[in-house]
Amino acid sequence: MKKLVVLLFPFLFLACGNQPEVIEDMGDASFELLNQDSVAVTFPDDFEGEYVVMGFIYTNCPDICSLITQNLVQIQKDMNYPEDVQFVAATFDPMRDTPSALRKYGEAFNVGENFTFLTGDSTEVFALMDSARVRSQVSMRDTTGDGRELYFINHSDKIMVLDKQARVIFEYGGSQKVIPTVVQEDLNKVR
Amino acid sequence: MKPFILICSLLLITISCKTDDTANQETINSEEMNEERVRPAGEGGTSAAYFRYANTLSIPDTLLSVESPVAGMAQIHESYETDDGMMGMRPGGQVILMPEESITFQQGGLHIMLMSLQKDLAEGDSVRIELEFSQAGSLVKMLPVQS
Repeated sequence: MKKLVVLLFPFLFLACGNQPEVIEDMGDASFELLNQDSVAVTFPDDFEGEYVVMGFIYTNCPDICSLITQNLVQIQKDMNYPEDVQFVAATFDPMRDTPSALRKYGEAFNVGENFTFLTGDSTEVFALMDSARVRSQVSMRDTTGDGRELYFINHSDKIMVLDKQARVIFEYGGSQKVIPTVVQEDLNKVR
Repeated sequence: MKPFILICSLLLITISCKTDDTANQETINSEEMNEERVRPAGEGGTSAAYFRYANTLSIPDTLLSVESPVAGMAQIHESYETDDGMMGMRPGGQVILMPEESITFQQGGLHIMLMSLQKDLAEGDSVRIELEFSQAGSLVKMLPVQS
């Protein structure tokens, strides 16, 4: 009987303590990508040792994805631009979201330092999306008056937090208004 | 105490101690999104216009078209959640307003998509949105560019 109590106690402690459950361990993964300045980035290796708040977007989606980006920017601002937290927005539309398109998009949101946009070769980008369990699918297509082809994408709505070992420890509906407050509270519990 | 009761009690405590993840799922408060503006975006990119319009006529009115000189194409779109839990956009359909009825084009819902932008839209700029109604006729909204 005493052994049973001893065995169950750590389980109870973990559940009530500040150590969040690991949702996905990305520590063994490695994706060769490019940032908004066309500099090579290996994700998550280049961010290990720091917390990462990461969202998933495409720049031709000015509505839901702008809410996600806005939330990332707001979290960084509310936390007073912490040096031990990196902010990342990865595109699932690498065909159109070139480094320069991402840089321009970031400028529109006045992103600060420690804010990285990620794109790259489609194979690598979609391998990252699979690993992060982010889904995307081309939906609506249209043509502008000047003959330019447009398409839109159905996609997961996600912001997640990785710990210093590149383990996903929190996930949220990325576009929701309450997210900046919740992410900040969660990060403060584990930092 | 029997072991079975002890295990059940500990599991119940464990479940009750889990963090309040449901707080993460709070929905967007539409009232907070009711600002009149156009999102900043770069030339060739896509933006969105948000504003409120009220039909002050005594008869129903229909929005026939929307245009903007800054966009190669402007359309009414709606953000929505698909059956399999993804976020998407679809054409917003016909907008018909009853007398005294109003409509809010807002972030995360019905909005005016400005596609194939002809120029950069930066904070401080102003964007002209031209609306054509079946009864009210032509109407122009000047909206500030704001993130």
